[in-house]
Amino acid sequence: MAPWKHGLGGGKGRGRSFYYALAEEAVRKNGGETCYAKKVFDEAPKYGLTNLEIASLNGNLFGAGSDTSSSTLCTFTLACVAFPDALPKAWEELDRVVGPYRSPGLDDDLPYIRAFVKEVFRWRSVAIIGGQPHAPIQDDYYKVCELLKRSPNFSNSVQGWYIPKNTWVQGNVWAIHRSENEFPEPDRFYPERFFEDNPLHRPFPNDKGYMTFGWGRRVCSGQGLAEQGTFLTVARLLWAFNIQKALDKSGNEIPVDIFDYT
Amino acid sequence: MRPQPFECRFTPRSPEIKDTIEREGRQALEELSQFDGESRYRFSTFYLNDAVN
Repeated sequence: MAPWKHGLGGGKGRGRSFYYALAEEAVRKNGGETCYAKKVFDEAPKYGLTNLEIASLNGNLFGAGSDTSSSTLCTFTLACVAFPDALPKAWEELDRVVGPYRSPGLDDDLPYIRAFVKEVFRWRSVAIIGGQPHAPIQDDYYKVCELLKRSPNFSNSVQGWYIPKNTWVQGNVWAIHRSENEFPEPDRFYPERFFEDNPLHRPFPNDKGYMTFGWGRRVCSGQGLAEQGTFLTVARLLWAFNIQKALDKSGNEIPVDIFDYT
Repeated sequence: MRPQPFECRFTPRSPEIKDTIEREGRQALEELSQFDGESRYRFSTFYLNDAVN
């Protein structure tokens, strides 16, 4: 089991769980002020929430909202260090639109920074097997694609892949985001690929241009929050700093490895 | 996934920007201070106590 899930108490009737205790403490210490935990408790009777569900809604802030965003910012920093050519265009835009006397905000018109954030999400996604598993609610047949029909091993008796009802299905985000058809030179960090007039631009099945947050009913519940927060942090870090490779004692740049991931 | 630790350098892009970073940083700390607090619970000990109780 994922370590943070232990805090839910495992549903084994231990009477209390870590995240329930935190939520209860937050409401108690906050003196009746509105906050997330209070809202959950206030709404619990209306939706018939169990204590485990209250604990889960609270624990989700840690499990889904903390490590994911911080990992994304580590990836952002690695991209800046490994692909310094991407930075001057960001500075030009930020200097022109924002200037030095305030940091950028959500209302600033910063198309290159928007593309930069998209490229961070695409280049190295946190949940590379698409997060929560899916399952078809009825038997499904996935059509054989044209590419497979051209394979020497292909036989006409193959009608497609039969996916029985309730089969565990994951979307391979790592493969999707590194497919040469959609993202030429996929390991190159290149924000301009998201502009339609760029030679490396390719059509994509959704408007965002990435599938980092999953799909359908099990799409990430924190997508909007994560996109906003990442945009603000990335825009402000780019506005504030030149982010470069470290130097060794002789003044030489220390290289980084864009594949050295956990 | 996240990158394994790597070394890097963050340098403020200009003296004006450095002043703005510090000013906005102080302001943010002040505005966020209303949320300062300490929980009595620790993840590492929570279930140990539970077992004793």
